[in-house]
Amino acid sequence: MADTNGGRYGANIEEVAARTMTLFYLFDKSGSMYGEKIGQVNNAMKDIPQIIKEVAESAPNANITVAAATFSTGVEWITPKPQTPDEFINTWRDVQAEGLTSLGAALTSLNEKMSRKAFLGDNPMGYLAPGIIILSDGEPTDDWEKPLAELKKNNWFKNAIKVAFAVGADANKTVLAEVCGTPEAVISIDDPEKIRQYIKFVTAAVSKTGTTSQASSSASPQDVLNQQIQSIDDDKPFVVDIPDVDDSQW
Amino acid sequence: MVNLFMHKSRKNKIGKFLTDNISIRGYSHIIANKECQDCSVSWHTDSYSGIIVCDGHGGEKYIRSSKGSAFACEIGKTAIDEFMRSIKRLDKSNYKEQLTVLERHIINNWRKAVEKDFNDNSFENDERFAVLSDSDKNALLKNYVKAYGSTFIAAVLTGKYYFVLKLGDGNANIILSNDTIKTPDEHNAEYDEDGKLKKVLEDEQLEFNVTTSLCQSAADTEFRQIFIETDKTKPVSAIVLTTDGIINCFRSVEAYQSLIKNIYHAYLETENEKEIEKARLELANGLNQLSEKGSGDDLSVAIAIK
Repeated sequence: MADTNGGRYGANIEEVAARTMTLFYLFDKSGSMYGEKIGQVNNAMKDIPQIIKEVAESAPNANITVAAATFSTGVEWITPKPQTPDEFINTWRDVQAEGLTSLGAALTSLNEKMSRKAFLGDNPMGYLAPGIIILSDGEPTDDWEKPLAELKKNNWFKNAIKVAFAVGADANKTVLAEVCGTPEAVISIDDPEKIRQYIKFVTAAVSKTGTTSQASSSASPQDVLNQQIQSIDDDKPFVVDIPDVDDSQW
Repeated sequence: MVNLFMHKSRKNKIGKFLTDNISIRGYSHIIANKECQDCSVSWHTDSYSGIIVCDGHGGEKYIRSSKGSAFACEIGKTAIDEFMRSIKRLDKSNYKEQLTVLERHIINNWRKAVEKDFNDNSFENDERFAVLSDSDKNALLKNYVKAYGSTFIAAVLTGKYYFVLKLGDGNANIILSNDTIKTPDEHNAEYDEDGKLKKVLEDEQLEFNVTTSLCQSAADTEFRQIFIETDKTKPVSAIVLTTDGIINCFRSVEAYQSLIKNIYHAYLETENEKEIEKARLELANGLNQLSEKGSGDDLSVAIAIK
């Protein structure tokens, strides 16, 4: 076991930096989200800083930052850059539902932001796989296939842990499964009152999975998360219990 | 293992080198009871010193990457030594052709070693294969070479030049006689029409946990190489190679380079083999703590001092 004083390299060890995991939220705020749905999203986003801080406390080698955007007729990034949970508390402002469902535009914008030149450059020496959480309640109203094809070439996206919420009967689960790469990562929410609860649960699950680097499991972080999603029981309280996952850093 | 030759008089003596290397098992691997997937080697002759670091891939399906990195070190050393002993002239006019031949030789021999190991030890009796998902099993059955995936960085330092061969992530550091550190690209100091530094060795495609690898079918086209003549305008004191787990511990290049400089000075100050042993133990201790507090990854360092 290493001694604690660091010896000759003590000063270098003091410089060790935590790696950063960025959680990207993409929320549909089209007109059909009006009322209970958008209200649940707004409330959930006020809760997530505290959830992220708790997860980060148990993962001292990782920072977690938040980047959030809404899409309707266009795309709007609420965070000018990824923010710490404390910064995010002061940045989030309640979103109003209006307009169309420009998922393609949102994917294009996500592709631009998932780059060292944009949102993932402040800590270039250490990034963990990002988390991507998407919520939508309807059919995309723009071309989403080409933007998704481009996004799938992005190495950050390829390695990201991805989850999508399909809210209500009109949500296109097939499209969301295409975005996530598997239908297992799509959560159907039939009761709008549960949106807040689901967002909190998935925030904890994704951030915990993404910042846990020890492992004996054979599953990838995405597989681990998919298993968590599949075991959700609507009738029971959510429990965030993420098993150890593999550090797939090469 | 220490490779020491006339270290007391290495200053300004062409052909006198000190080389050493170390690989430690990452903190996350200790916890998960996984083997060290890094490997490194160092050696020298009267006329040159060679160092190699290799990082076996850590994903679940790379079940034999510790073997892959060990093969890469062993084969790389043998190939480079044969190359250096047989080459009559290596300079700006012919290095691309010559080093490309060397790279292909390394890849071919590595693949032969992998093939032999696979034929001797099929996946059927490998418990790490048995626990893989069906998709990972299928991927390996289609292409068993993937199981052995590893990066590869080698540097050769002579009295007149150095070269670096690089496939995948990891870092090469050139320590100049004025005690500053540059990457080989910075040391090469060639610029394009827009005044931007040409990045010959550094692969800008490599982001996050995506790397090129010996296990790729097109590995020969992914190899990067740089050759620099170390005349009076580009004097070099040492080369230090590290696997990516080390730079991933730090938030800035400066913090990383401070560690590299510290490692260099630790070895530079040694007067005898006992002190080198002590320097290595101290480095091992430091790297263990770095891994625990930082990347959690296996860490490797190889150093050649002129």
